[in-house]
Amino acid sequence: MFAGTHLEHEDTIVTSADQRAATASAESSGDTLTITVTGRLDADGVATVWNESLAALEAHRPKRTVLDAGGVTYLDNSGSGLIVELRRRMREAGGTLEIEGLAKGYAALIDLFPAEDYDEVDTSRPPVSAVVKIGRATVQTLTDLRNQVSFLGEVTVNLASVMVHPARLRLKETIRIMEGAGTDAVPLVGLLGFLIGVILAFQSAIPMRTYGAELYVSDLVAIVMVRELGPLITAIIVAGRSGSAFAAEIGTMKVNEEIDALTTMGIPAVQFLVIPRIIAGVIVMPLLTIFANLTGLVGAALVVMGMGYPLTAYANRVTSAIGMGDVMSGLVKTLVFGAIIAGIGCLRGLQTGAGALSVGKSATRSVVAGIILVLLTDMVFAVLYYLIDL
Amino acid sequence: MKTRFSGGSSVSEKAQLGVEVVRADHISKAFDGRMVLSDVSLSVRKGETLVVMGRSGSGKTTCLRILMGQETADTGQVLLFDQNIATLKKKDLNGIRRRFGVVFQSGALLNSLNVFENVALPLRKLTELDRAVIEIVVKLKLEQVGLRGFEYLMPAQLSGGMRKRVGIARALALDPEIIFYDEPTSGLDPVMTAVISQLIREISSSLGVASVVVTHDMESAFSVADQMLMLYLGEVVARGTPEEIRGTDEELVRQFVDGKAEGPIPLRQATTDLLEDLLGG
Repeated sequence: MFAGTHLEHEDTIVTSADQRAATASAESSGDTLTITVTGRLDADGVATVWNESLAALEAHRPKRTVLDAGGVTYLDNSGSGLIVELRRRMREAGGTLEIEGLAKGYAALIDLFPAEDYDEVDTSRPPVSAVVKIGRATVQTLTDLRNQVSFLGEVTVNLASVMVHPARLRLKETIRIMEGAGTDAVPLVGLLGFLIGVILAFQSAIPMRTYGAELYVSDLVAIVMVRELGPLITAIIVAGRSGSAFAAEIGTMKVNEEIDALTTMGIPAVQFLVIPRIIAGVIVMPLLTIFANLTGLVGAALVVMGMGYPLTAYANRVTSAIGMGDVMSGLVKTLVFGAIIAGIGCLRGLQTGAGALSVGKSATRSVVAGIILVLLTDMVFAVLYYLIDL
Repeated sequence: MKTRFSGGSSVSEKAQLGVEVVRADHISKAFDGRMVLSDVSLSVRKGETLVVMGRSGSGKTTCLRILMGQETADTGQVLLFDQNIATLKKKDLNGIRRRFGVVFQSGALLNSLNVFENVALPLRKLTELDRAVIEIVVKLKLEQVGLRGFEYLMPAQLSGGMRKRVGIARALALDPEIIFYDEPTSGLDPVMTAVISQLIREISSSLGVASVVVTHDMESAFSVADQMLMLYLGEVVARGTPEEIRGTDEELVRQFVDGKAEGPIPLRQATTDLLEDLLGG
């Protein structure tokens, strides 16, 4: 029916571009307002007459409105939208709306759907009391905690089993992940390490210059970079690049039922997916950190040389400022960072709900949780190193 | 143990021969207080195919997930091979899992592995079989689903029908005694639908496996089923042989089987009058 009426009126389509698809005019006499609408009441037509018609209604505030639709050549759901809105406003004001001259075929669009079409299904949700909400939130938090603890336990058991039976590790997969998380991150880690080295050198040179101690910039950058900033920058890069990638990858697998497929086959997802990623994270983190440290020192070297000191002087200061203990103290904690970032990424991935939105959310949550946990761990290490005087 | 039929006829001859391998007793499940499955009982014997049908949202996927142990029922119990899967230890459950295969709606192939590796996965991970044997078994399974020669394609390079068939080959890899199919023909063209239906029949008759097929594709349902069960709003509204279901006068079942828009199953979910809704602003 729609197609038929549409075709019937096809010949009245506006031909010239500047001619409006529909027009509206209003005329008031006593309590009655007559709005005359002509033309095509489709999306374009309604857009042109919408404001005029409603403004006329507002201006006259009539008791009775007559919509003269004799000149309407086409009407679709946009047109019924206009009529419903007029009717709604009239009803609000306690008046009536009458429609005159509308072609018969459009009546169905105006009457919309008859009321008896609706079946009685109760979809209203009962109100939830605050106590119930608190209870649910508590249960939710405890379940989360339980899941995290059981995830940690499962990871530990599986790691131990891989240590005992190295053949159980998916070596090819682990290498593929290491390539993505490690090799591919080298340029970024190098660039950021270099820039941080340059920035640190310049910033610290400002107060040092006052005392003519610019050369000591080398000591400062070396210590800060190797002990703290190198590991931290690398961890943040790995969390942003790979932690989120793990969460998204595993989350997508969850959405695609791949995780279900694994468990119904009797292959634990932790053993199959999480262990290779954690091992890759633990191996890749210290290597990337070494690279970040080196490029940071190169950046600082350029700054110091630019201030007129020879490279040998810089090298001497650096080697006397930091020892093996400093380098190792920085690297040991990156092993833990790597495990945390990979583990959180995988956990968030496994916790993904349904749909693409939920995958994105998991990726975000993995980065946030990863960075927070890395910093907390870093603080623990700082206190520990202070206590053992490293 | 006899199965209850609404039509009151006897268990089919084929079914009488087999041992009962899947059994659910009065299982119910609610999510967030909303009942999705209520008092569902079923049983499948060796060599028999049970089709669980119903509209989207009727609880059939939940029913399947409970049967394969991916969800646990709130009440009632599921027995696979006479063992209650809810109370099994993880190790024993994994033992049971080796004896059944699952064909997921989308195929659920691991996207980072190629076709060969996907089918070989359960063999490599769960058995000590030699590489050479695994290669032969994978070739046999792929031949069975008509995809030999596609071993080294990645899942992303396959069509929907091919992905499903690889999924079937993977489910068959360990020669299971039960196969669960989740919407095996949804989203496929008519030819591929017929191919998959035929495959399900062949697997059931030649290997004697018990099959549980969840579907709303009536043509495929009637072509594979020995027994049928219809869920509506989480409850069993009909069960019986395909002939009994075809011949039923029950309006709800008739509407579903014939695919009619008019009938007791409502189209719209809203309770209020549309005009009132629009005018109310």
